[in-house]
This record gives sequence, structure tokens and C-alpha cells, in this order.
Amino acid sequence: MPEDTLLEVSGLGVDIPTHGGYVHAVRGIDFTLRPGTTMALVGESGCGKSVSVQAMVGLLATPGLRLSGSVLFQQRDLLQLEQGQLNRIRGARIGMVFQDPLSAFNPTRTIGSQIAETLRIHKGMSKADGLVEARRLLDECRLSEPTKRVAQYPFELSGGMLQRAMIAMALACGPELLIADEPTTALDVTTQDQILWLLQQLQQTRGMAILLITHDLAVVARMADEVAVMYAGQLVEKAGVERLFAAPAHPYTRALLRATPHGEMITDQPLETIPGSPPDLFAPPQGCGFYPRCSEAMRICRQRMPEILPAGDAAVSRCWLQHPDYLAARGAGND
Amino acid sequence: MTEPLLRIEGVSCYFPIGGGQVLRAVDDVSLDLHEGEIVGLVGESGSGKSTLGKLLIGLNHKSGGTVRLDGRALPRHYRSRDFRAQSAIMQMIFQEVYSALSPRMTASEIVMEGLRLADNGRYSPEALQAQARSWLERVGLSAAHMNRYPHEFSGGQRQRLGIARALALQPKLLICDEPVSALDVSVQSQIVNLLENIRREMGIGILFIAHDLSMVRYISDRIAVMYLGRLVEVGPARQVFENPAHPYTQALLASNPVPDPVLERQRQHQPIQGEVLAPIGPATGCRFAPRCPHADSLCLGQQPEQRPHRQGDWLVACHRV
Repeated sequence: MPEDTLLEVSGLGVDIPTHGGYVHAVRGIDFTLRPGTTMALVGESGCGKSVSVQAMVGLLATPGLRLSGSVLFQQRDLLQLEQGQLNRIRGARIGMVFQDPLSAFNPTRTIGSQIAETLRIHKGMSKADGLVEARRLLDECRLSEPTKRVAQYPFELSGGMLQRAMIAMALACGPELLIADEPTTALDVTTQDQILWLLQQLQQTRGMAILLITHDLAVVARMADEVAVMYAGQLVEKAGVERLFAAPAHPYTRALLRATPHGEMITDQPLETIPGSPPDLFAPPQGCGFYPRCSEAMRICRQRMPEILPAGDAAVSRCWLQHPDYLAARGAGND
Repeated sequence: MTEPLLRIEGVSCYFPIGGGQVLRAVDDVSLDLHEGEIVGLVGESGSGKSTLGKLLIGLNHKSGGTVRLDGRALPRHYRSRDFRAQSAIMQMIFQEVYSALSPRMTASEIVMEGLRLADNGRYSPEALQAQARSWLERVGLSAAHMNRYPHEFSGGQRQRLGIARALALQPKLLICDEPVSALDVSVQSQIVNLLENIRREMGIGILFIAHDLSMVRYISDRIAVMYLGRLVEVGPARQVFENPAHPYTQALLASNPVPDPVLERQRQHQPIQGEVLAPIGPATGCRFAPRCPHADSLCLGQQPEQRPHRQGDWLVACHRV
């Protein structure tokens, strides 16, 4: 693994057992994350973005769960680690922030004692020192009146304040990687703005990498250096953020962008829609998962799964439209 | 000038919260909505936008003010006959549409129920079925969906079903409370296009309550911005979005990320500070003053009235505009 790679995910697959058989929720995704940068994992509900991240850090515990591939974090494969080894990494080297902070905190204990517990477990800090450090962390996350908050219970804080407290807890041990799963989805737009700004500031001062899971393309545009677009359990496109928005290569990415209302949009035109729905992941199609909804589909798309192909500017797209033979034929056709 | 379809004048909705205190969820709000017009009502959680929507349909009681719909004053407290009379003129669709649909009724029963009650048996069962089918088809569902139950539909299809039920009585006003917030982007655009078509073809007025500013900008003719129970700015959507006059509207629009990384990189703003407080008790000054970067002693001491800004139909409640 090269020096400047913090996280390298290769061929990650997740099959989840249910009463109706296995759901092939994640079907082989690959990406790398460099230290201090932000990668956004974007897609609609059910595309597998949250499940992949939960699988990476061992948060999926369903009996009979099938995981494949590897997740190298600082040269160690998280999927092969013992529970105890994983516990020393999670919460210490990898911090996590979730959509619903209220359910991530223990409702019966104060904010301060929960942050202090993290510090005690991972750093061996005494409770008294932990509470002092908790106050400092809350202040760093710009939570108003941090001294008072340390002694408060989760239900006493608003959604925005709790999200700051959760970020403070995730950062307690100085992680190299922060995983943020829809961190602002439940928040109002002005509060979202505050939290996104805070994450950017913290990333600058602490130099940590952020893996951001979101469905909101505007949040992606604000936060990400690189973007991975997921559809039906696969990565369909991966590119630098400016390239992705300026020249999306995969038809799904293009459709998603056109369906998102934009400031300069002409309001007399109907919004683009994506007809149909994603494929059944109990029995994934043998060809491209987006084929039935794709306006540019060809015969091969139904029969054979497209490979991940280079799409210029270090971007890749899982689409036959990027195949060299197709591009050559199209180029010849245009002459 | 003819009277607008909906005229809200000085409407308030207060809730006692114990200890003799009163939460002013909606406080002296006035707003007109014309036939065939889409007015976007935006604001953050706790701004009172949903309370106002529910008040119109009779699910909350007004504490003061008047509402006139289609030339008639709405009662302060709805009785069952009022609900029946209003339902032919005004319908509502909800964010949590699944909880607004009876799990024991099929799609066609859900759509027919209103017609059945409104017509006192004038329609034959066959005619009702035909009506239900045509409304389901109108919203993009098909005859094959008629005998399915709500749990057999996807989120987007359920919202279509909710819209079909609302349209079946051919109302003049549709109140949409966060109709697309729970849906995926690709489905949101389908529902918004459907509402836009309905407005154009049926001439229905729509009050579109939402917190997603981009979607509101896209669909609305006029926009009303609410903060802590009061309307701070009302005006033509395009002008308000391009040149917001009230500091709160400015802060709200500035905080909204746009799907364009180049614009986002150029962003040079400090997020607005502070939290939304609860509007408890009478306001001594502007409700936004504690968070407003421009607030002075006048703002803290005196509540600003709505005044015309630039043009007649653009109203702003701010001392500094």
C-alpha cells in the first residue's frame, strides 16, 4: 500500500441473510482515501452506502453475514482483525458520527461522562482528567457553554448541539479517519451549515481524513475532494469533485444531477426524472444494474456487467459507454 | 380586484405550555394565495410553518385572526360538518404519507372514500370505481394498483396515492406539508413535476410547505419565509431568491449548499450563529434580533411591521430595510 493511502477498500462485498435469502447489498467496491482528504460516498436509499461503511468497521453483526474483500486501514485489514483489536481502532483511530445523535448517546448518562469514558478506555485517562478534556473538546466543536454541557444529558440538547457533542466524542482520541454517515440529514439548513463548516475547520486544524456518506449532492459539492457514486451495491463512478459535477461520465450520475434542482435552473422546464426503480438485490441482474432505467442502454448492458473503465482525469466509470471499442466506433461513426 | 382564493389575516395559534406560559407557534400571520398559484412557505423546524398548514385544514385551532377561503370565512373551531364542507375545497398531503393512509383500505377505496362521503350515495359503485381509476392514472399509477394496500407501494407511489386521494374531490386549494422530504432525489423530481402539472391543468392553488430551499425555488411563484411564528418576508420567488431583503432570508439562503463545487469553493461566509429559540411569550422586538448581525436597539425593543419593499407584492418585516 502506498505511503499516502490511509484507507484502501478492495472488492468489498456484503451479503446479508434475511428470511427471503441473502441480499447482495454490496457487490465489490474499491476505493482509496488519502490522509487529510474527504471522500463522499453518495447514492440513494438502498444503494449500499451505509452498509458498506458499517461492514468496513465491523458494525454489522448479523449471524450468517458474508463479507468479502479487504479493508486496509494503516496497513491492517479490518475485516481480519479480532474483536479486541478492532475495538482499539474504532473510537480511537477511526471516529464515527451518525445521522441520529440522540440514539448514538446513552440517554441515562451525561455527555461529559460518555466522552470521558472514551478517553478512559482508549487513553487510560482518569475520570477527572477526562471531564476536563471533554469540556475542551466540546469547546473545540464550538458548543456554547461547554462547562454546562458536560453535566447535561442528551435529551437536554437540541439536534444541532447533540451533533456537535457527537463530533467532539468522535474526535476525542485524535482519529486519522472520521466516518460521517449522513451527519446533517436530520438538521435544519442553517444548522447543517454550521456543522459542515465545523467539520471543514476541524479537518484543517487536525488534518484528519473524512469519509462522508450522503444522499445530498449539494453537501457533496461543499465538502468532498473525491466522490464515489453508488448504485445497486456497486460503485458506478468515482472522480474528483469538480470533474464529477462538470462532466459526469456514468448515465446514473448524469440523471441524478439533472434531477437535482439548481439555482440557475430555468423554472419553466420540468425536472428530469429517473423512471423505474433499482434492481432487486436478492437476485442482482447479470448485466448493469442501471440498465432498465438508462436512456443510453445498449444490448450488451443487459447481458454483461460493465467493467470499471477509465473515464479521463483519473475518473472511472462502470459503464460500457467508456469502453475503448465503443468510443472508437463512435469516433469513427462521427467522421 | 377579485378576492384571492385564500386570505389569511392576522392569524395566530398559541399553545399553553404550562406555568402560565404560551408558545406563539403562529403569531399574527397574513398571507394571500390566488387561484392556480404556488406559494412556497419556508422556514426551519419550529418556525410554525406546519402549524399554519394544519390550522388551515382544521387540525389546529386558531387563537385569533381570520381565514377566508373561496369567499367564505373558515370557522375558528372545526366541527365535523365543517370538515366535510371544507374537504371539497381544500385538501392536504403529508410528508409521512404512510401514516396518513389507512393500512386496511385498498388504493381504490382510499381514493373513493372522499367521493363516497361527499355525494351521499349519488355515485354508483361502478362510477366510483371508474373515478378512482381515472385519478390513480392521473397521478401516474395504473389500474393494476387499484386493489393493492398502502404497504405494497414504494414511498413515491404512496405519495402519488395521497395526491390522488386529495385530488378526487377536485379541491381548489392543496396544502402540501413537506411532500417530498422523505423521498429520494429521483423520486422527488417526479412528485414535484406531478404537482406542477396538476396546478397547470386543474388551476389548483398550492401552499407548498418545505424546508428544501432549492425545491421551493423551483416550484414556487411566490415565497413566504417564516421565523419563529412570524412571516419575515413575502415576495415573488425569483426576486426574493436573487435579492433577499430580510437578514434572516439572506442567512437562510446563504446557508443552503448548492450542487456546484466551483461555487462552493468560492463561498466565503461565516455560518449564522446561535440556535432557534422557542417563541414563548409576546415578542419584545424582532424575533430574529438575537441572531441578526445587523440588530440594534430598535430591533430589540420594537417588533417590525411588514412593509412593501421595491414593489407592491414584496413585503419585508425588518426595521433596516
